[in-house]
Amino acid sequence: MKKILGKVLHKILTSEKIEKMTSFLKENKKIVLALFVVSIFVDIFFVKSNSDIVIFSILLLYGIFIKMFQIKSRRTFLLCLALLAAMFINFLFTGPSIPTEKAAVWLVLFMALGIFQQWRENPTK
Amino acid sequence: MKHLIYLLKKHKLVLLMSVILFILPFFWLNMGEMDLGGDSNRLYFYDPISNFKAFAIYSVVPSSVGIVAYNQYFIPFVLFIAFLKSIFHSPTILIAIFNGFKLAGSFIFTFLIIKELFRKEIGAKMTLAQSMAAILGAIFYTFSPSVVDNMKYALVTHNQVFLNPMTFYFLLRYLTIFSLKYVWFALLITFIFSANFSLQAPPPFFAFYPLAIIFLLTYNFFVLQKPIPWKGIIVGILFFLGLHAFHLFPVASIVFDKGSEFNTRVFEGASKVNPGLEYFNAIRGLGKVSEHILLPLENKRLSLSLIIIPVLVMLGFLTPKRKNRTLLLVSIFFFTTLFLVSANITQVGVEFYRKLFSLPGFGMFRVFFGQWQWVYTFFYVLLVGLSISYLFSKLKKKYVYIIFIFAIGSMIARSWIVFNGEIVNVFHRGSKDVKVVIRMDPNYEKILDYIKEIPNDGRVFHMPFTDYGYNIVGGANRGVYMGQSMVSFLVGKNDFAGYQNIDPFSEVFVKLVKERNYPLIKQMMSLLQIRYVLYNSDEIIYDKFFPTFPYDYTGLPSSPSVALDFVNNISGKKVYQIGHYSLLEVDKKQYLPHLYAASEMYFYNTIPKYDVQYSRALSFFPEKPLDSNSDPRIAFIDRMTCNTILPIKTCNQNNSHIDIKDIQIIYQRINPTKYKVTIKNATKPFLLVFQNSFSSHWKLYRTTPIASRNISDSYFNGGIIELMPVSHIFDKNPFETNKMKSVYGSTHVKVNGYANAWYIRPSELSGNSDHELILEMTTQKTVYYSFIVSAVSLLVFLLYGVKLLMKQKL
Repeated sequence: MKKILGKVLHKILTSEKIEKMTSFLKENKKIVLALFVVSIFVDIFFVKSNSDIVIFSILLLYGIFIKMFQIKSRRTFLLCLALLAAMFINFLFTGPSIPTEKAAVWLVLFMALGIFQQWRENPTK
Repeated sequence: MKHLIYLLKKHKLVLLMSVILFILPFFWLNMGEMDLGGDSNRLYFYDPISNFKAFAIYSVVPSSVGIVAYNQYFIPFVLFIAFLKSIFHSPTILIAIFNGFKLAGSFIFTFLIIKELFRKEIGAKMTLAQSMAAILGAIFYTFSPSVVDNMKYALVTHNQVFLNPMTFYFLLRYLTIFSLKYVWFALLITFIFSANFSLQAPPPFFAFYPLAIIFLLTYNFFVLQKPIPWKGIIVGILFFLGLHAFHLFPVASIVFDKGSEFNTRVFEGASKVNPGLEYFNAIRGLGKVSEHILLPLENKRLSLSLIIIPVLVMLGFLTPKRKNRTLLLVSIFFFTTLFLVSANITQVGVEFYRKLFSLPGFGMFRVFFGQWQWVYTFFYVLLVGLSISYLFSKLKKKYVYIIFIFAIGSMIARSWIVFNGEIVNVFHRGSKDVKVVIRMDPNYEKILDYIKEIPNDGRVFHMPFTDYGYNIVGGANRGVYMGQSMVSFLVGKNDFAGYQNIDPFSEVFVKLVKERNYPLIKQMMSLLQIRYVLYNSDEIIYDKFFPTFPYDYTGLPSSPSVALDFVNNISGKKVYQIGHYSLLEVDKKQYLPHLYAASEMYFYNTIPKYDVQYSRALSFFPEKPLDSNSDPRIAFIDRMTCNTILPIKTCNQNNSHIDIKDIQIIYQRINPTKYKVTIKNATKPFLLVFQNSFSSHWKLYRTTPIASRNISDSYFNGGIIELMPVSHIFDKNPFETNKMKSVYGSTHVKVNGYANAWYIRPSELSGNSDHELILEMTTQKTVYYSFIVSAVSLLVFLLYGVKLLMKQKL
């Protein structure tokens, strides 16, 4: 089963279209990551509803980007710092409002991801 | 202990800060002032021995209708306070000492834990960066909302703020160096503060210790990479069970008793309607992730300083480091507890949380943000200490000092209430600046003394009467005590101070008050065994000073004069008056003693919509007209219940008369769980009513005649005689019913919506018409057996401690 899945994944990843897309994304890494971050902040400040689909899709996408762009945990924690700032400013002005809570949830999820990432990348000695 | 002293000597700054934190509470209150109120009370600071006698020994609560509850967990703690009181005398000093324990204990032990977690990383020595980070973490914990915000109206379990880190530290030390003396110290602490380890108030215990133990075992395996120390674990568990048997066994023994509080708590998840889950769903919106990350104090929610620690934590993660198992482990526990305390992390998370309520006992965490806050703050602080140490280790010394001073300064500024005493010197919510801190009114002490001397066991009704279960009493300093009744918890006399106390008549009472239906209010009072009305005319406890809380719903009088009018309508002559306080007695013809034979049984069908807490009596009272029966010795029985003891034909009637003309009942209280009863001239079947909250563990035994015949009072022309109660605190003959056979167990039913009754057929007992019985709460015997187990365990435990000490010296 694993073998079959691996084969299918390999086929998809090595398909021409995917390779094209990957190289396009790699060429525009900065823009892609900026758009990614902006989408999180748009969700925090402008989208009032909560959706797990959005949250987990973005997290999955970030996971792919980590692999694709070799993103280090340092960057994830920098994003966490930005989310912390957003949460705090919102908290000061609006209390634990919907945007504050959304920022807090994003912060927690990215922090957890960052710690996991750091654990994998840090040397044992 | 030597190790602890050595550590404190080595870390002089920590020692100095601990001393300051311990001394601080001594400046919060002026001499004679006390902070005693709250949902539970802290009357044990005021008079520990009276509190012990009234509340801790017997399994019947001294308030309201005497529900069954196991409060023995209180014994070592309250005796410890009594010991301290014999040294310091003043309740103010005692309160300061315990608040000092909370602040200094929280600080020292969180510091030591963080230090111990560093040990693995770089050997025994602690760097400046680690030292500073550990102090920051410890201060963050000490000034966190879990410690500071809960200091006012503190429950007895609030001691967990220093007990949790203390016990955790001892166990961590044990895992590190395998010295059993740490297990011994941890057990000693759990025994003295057994209130924090009871099944009667389980959330603080179950929220912290299972997670803490899992953490410690994982730490042992994953970080220390040592074998599991089975010896210490087994010794620890055995001693723990033995030492705590006196309160754990009685509660555990009723876990399968349907209807018991503990059974409901454990198995409510399996019922069709899961109250825990419903409550959780109702308050889920209150769980705020942002608040748990920033941890704002209640009175200072918006402060720039809130961001400092989270930013330092994040910067700590940004610092390059090698693989750190401790940090990973602490992070996992941080996220787990953050999820538990906030409950609102993604919808999948919420759904998973809901599923947890099907676990037996998880319903106790329905107020999730309250119950998990301590364990969450604890793991948050460990994360703070570890993470910041990495940041500090990469910075120059002078920057470490600057950040350290800035962070400490901002935390102190934010928590200034700890320094100026506003932490406890607060005003009652909903009041017009009425202080919580009181100086005891000498006149109130006198009326409590008077009530203590009353030889009969008639119950007391309070005026003013609150919407909750609070008793409200003015102090000599214009402060007000609001908490559990002093009449119950210091004197040991059952009383009714508020709406929640008069269950199942609560809604009936509200209705009757609205109608000002005094005859029926009196009738209700007789069914609750109310003999006295304690009227308090102190203006400070009425609506003028408490316009929004705790009076509104019941609709009772809002000023002293209107209240007096109400009191005069429901009671008779004044028996005692001093200062603002008057004790009035109801008309004796209307009073129903603790035990009586019913002359009239009224049958009713339970109305489903009223079959809920506080409303049950609406099914039979006052809709049911009581005709002109002048004899108040009546009993209301649900038809379904009636069918179990009487023929269906009788139960289908409206009421049934019983001839009790010749029956005489003589009773004597041995203690709150045991009565001796003599029944004379009983030739025909009758219903014997005992006005205590129904429990199947109340049992009747046949016995020999009562020795004492000193009459306390007599009612209904000698039809009921109450003898002087036995004055010993402890039962001289606790196991006398062991060889006796209980009688009338099959005819034991609930009457009047709450009370016990036995349908007695004299012919079944013996040929003659006189019967001697013992009425006993049988679970109290489990308590006595458990006392023996604990006493033996304590002795062995102390000897074991001596052995450990001697071994160390050798």
